[in-house]
Amino acid sequence: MRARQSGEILTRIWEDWKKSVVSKVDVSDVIIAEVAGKAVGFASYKLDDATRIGIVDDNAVLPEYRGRGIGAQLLAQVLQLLEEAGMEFAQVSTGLDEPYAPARRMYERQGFEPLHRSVTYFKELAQRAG
Amino acid sequence: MTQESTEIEIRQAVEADRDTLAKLIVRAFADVTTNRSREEQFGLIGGRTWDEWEADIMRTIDVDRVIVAEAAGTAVGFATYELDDATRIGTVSDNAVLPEFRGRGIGAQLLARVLGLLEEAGMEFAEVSTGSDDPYTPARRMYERQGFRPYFRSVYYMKKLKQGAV
Repeated sequence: MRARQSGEILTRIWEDWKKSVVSKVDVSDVIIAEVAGKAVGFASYKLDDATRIGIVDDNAVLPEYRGRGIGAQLLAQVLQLLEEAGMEFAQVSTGLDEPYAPARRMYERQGFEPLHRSVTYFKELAQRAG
Repeated sequence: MTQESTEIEIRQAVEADRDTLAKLIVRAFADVTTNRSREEQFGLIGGRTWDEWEADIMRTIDVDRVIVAEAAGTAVGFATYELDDATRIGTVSDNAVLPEFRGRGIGAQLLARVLGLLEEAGMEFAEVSTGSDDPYTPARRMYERQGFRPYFRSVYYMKKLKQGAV
């Protein structure tokens, strides 16, 4: 782990990103991770005041910056923001197949417990097929 | 069995159905709801029980996106759906049949009707998610029989935050 690199990583709320790229997501916030002023990762989250479940949404780090704990730092910061916003729980979903193994390990290391396994199906409707 | 021969009628839901639908969703989902398993694993969510969260779905949903299956005038099943005009992907959302009316193809009829409605609304694709564990096996078989192909397997995680643990 190159934790010493973290001094270069400035994580902050990026309002412009929130307004443009993620504009279709309501009540969503995004934080980004920067290395030497360059955005290399992000994490988005949503709050639900009724259930008090905060959702950890899309989050990712550029391939060439993986393996140095940036994703884990982003996640830890999101969890803290959820707590500060009064959430009681955090929820996240990710893939069960091999490319998602590092993500699952990261969530499990930060205390997430599996709740439900699901499968998503897709079907072409007749007007497309025909 | 006389019950087997009862004719099933599928119709569009209306505002007056809300209370009936709220009771129906609780009974029809009692054995297959993630809200319930979540409560068993993590305790009350937002100070309310799982059945209140289920009923809430029907109290707030756009009833234009709900269809109901009736047997002799009694609601025994329902299906909800969503449209997305940008992607043209229609989503088959919550759907269930009361335990004592299962195994007669009512769920399949509801699904076929929803797919027809998605096509009429201009959707090109239909998407649906269900559990990959045992209680969801009949649901998966139903989707596969009506031409759905699995494309993504996922896992939902939850974590109690510090202030909730106090």
